[in-house]
Amino acid sequence: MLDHVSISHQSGLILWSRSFTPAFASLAQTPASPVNALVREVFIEGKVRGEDASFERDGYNVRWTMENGLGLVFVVVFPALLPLTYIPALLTRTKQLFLSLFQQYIQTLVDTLSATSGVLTEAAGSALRVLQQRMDDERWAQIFDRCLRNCEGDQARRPAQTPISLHRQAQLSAASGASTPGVPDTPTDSVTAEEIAKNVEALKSKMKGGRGKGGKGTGQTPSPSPSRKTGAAAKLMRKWGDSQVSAGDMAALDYSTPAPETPNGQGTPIDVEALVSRDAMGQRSKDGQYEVADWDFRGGKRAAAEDLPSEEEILARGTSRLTIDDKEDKEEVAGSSWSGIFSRLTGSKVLSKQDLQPVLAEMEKHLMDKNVAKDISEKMCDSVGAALVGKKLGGLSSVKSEVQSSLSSALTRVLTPKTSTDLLLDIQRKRSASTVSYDNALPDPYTLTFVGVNGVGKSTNLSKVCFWLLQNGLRVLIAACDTFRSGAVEQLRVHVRNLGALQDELGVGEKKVELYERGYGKDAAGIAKDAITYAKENKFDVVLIDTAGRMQDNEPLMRALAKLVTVNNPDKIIFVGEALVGNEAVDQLTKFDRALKDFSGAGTGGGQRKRGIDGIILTKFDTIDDKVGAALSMTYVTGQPILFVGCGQTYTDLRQLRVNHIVQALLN
Amino acid sequence: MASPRNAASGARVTPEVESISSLLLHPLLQDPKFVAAVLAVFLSVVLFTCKPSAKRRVGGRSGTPTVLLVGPADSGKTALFAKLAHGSRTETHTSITPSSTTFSLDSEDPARTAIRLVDIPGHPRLRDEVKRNLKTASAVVFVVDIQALLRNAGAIAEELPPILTTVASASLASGQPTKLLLLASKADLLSRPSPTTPSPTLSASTRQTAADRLSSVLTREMDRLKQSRASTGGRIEGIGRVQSSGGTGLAGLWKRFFGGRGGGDVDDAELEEDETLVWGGRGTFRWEDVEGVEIAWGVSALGAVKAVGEEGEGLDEVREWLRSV
Ligand SMILES: Nc1nc2c(ncn2[C@@H]2O[C@H](COP(=O)(O)OP(=O)(O)OP(=O)(O)O)[C@@H](O)[C@H]2O)c(=O)[nH]1
Ligand SMILES: [Mg+2]
Repeated sequence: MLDHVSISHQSGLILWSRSFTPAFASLAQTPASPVNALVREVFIEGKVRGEDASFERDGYNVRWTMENGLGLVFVVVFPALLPLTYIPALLTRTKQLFLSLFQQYIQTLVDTLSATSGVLTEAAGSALRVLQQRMDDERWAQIFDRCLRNCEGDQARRPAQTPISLHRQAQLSAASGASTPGVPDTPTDSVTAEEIAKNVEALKSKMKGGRGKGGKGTGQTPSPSPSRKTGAAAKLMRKWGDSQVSAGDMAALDYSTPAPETPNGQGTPIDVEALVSRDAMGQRSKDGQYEVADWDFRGGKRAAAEDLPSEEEILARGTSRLTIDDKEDKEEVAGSSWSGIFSRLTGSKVLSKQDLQPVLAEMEKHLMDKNVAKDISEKMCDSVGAALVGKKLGGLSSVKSEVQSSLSSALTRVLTPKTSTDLLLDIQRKRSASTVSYDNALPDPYTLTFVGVNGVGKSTNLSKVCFWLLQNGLRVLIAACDTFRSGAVEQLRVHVRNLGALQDELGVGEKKVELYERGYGKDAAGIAKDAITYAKENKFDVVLIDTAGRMQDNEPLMRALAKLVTVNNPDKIIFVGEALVGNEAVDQLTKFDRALKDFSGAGTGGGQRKRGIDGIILTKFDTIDDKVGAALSMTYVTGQPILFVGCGQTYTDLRQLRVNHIVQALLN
Repeated sequence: MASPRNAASGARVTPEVESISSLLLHPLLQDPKFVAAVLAVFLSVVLFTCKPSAKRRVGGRSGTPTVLLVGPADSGKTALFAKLAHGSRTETHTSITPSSTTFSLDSEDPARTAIRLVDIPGHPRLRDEVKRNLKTASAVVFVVDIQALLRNAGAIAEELPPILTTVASASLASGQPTKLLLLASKADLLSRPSPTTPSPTLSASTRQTAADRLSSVLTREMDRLKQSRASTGGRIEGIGRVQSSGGTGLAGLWKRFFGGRGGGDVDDAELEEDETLVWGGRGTFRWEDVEGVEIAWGVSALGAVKAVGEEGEGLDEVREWLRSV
């Protein structure tokens, strides 16, 4: 039922993986693999918020969990259509088992992967091989299989359980009430109860002194038959006070009490129902052959798996090692802050949610003070927090400086453009591409469409861009497609006259800038189209399309904009936004982006690719001091780069964004 | 804890100071032995933490050389890293963090052939890492997936100028040229039928095809870049440093020592790097014109992940070049 599992390190090395279908096996090693997509979009670009959210790609559902201390990533891929509720439990269980078995080897590997000095160490070259050898020795593949089987078994049995136990209870009460002897289920039931008690005892003795790691899967799985489980859980809880019993623990417990397989075979109703539900699951999968193979393979392994150490043993091994750490933690919380400082000095302090919470809250507020939209400060801080929990605090750094440095790199990541921001290069590429393909035809001009809400400085910044293009020896046509606001065309006319005069002054013979205008009230899309045709005939290199400002909520106007985009297919759609906006930024950009995508896709038979915003111009940057939050909000929402920053009234007041300056300003 | 307002204004020093000062009242502090012990630990930790940064600044180019693996995403950097430094051809996925391992190329003579190899993620959002690491590198490998090169020539080549610029200005500052290997990776994918051994030996013609393709495409694209960028016309400047209060005095000092990157790279702003170092004079682009960078070309092949059999010679060129570093 699964497609793929992998355990990897953040460096990109996959420590262990398995593909369950040949199709996925070949997909797994390509850039298009859903795992790679997850890493790119979630871990690097930070698109999804938490581990509880799932990530879908190409019909695959991807779930993951992280181990920040070691930098491990556990990923499970399964078909998007299958409602597999046991995945979170499987992930936590796998993580626990893997760490219990190999923690020290992984630690060695992780240490050699972060060699800061040029000192040769013994372990360096061999750590990865040693770990892989170790996995073979411990038969990790089989341990995982068993874990998967247990989790699957759990889900398969669960739907059957509740009605049956109800049924049984009914029978039981009937038996006691009417004192009808010989109901075959009654003895079975008592046996089961005994078995449970025995198993609880066994588990207790095995895990003596150990602490079951809390599993988050508990809440996710459908609640099992209350009579058994809550009883067992309560007992365990009483024993270990603050420890939680993970779903995995319960599953193991459950699995070892095979009520249906009682010797006298009278538990048939249970068996049948369990079988039915399994079959149903088998049919749900599209590929029948693979399902069969899967069963075979498990059957083959089952015999060999007999002498594997049980999961409890494995976990106990891990927990005995972990208890030392836990004790330290306890002291810190309870006792003097000496040990806190001390363990911090020796670099053994592990960051917990509680440590991070106040600092994160403070950073969140700080970002909002810098005019970052509320939503986005929250998301940034959440993701920074999620990536820090469980990390060791090194050297002398305080929680705060640790948070600050990872926030700094998170901010840098968001602000760093993912695509090229070199417009001139793009213009040149288009020109050479079209001259190559049609020998003597005229090249298509490069078109830029400026969009945005009212009064943000679209026309002004359009003229600044125009000035810069002119300086680079390009011929520019400005298309006045704001046919809405009175005075818009006149404003552009003034700009063009000024720019023309500037060109004359600089001593260029040929007239290099022109305005294409058709007055007011006409269809903007049509004017733009004519302008582009005119530009092509008259050998203009670039067409700048000025559109009317519009509010993001005005659907008719947004549709009109999308139409302009669909009809003319500009090379770049540039959103012009004020650096002054705070929370508004998110709303503006999401709605512009979505409207463009939704409406432009629907326009022409769907053949064209959907267009969104391609770049941003941030205006009025000179009016905001160090409250540069809008830069972050805008890039976060669109994932698109800030191409230019407008910082004044004259034609030369156009700048390029410097990511590190923005980050600095945000953090100071 | 400091009040949020106070902390927000950039005084990152407060929490530390307060927690320490509150500790002065602690009874354990009356015990002189304990105080001495704590001081000793403190001093040694300070020495320890300061050592690497000092070393980086002064002697980054002496001792064990640092070699960087850079290049576009999915070009095979991590695979190369795992094979060279860990002797294992493992599966990989997109890297999130850089990783570095010190290893020796020659087990006979480990001390003299030791290098520190750093694998940098290729995702464009992590470009920052490239720049930060380039400053300390004594040699750089730019890894290009030779198959993807045809599809993405423009985008791949666009990553080169910033790298060349940083490398060039670093070598000008230190007075030592930096070596740069332009490596055509995954060359085994060009040969038919695809080889099945690890690091397969490539036929001379495959090797030649890969090498020719790499140099012709990169040269062509660099020339294009030069035509559009080296032109005199209006360049757009970057925004200046955004003014804000604070960050000097004790806080600044503290920041420099302990603040890590949270404080921002102060030196960075002044170091306005100049791309003209890359472009040379008029005319077409020539690799020799790039100042302070010794450029070499190479081809590598790792083969498929599950390959079995004799180890081939697919990595010999890379190893050879690494030895020369
Ligand atoms: N056939 C073949 N495949 C290779 C070779 N080198 C790398 N690969 C494969 O190419 C894919 C990508 O390699 P990675 O090493 O992860 O790429 P990367 O450069 O680290 O990518 P990022 O971490 O995203 O920057 C993997 O599936 C490798 O197995 C090679 O020489 N031959
Ligand atoms: Mg990588």
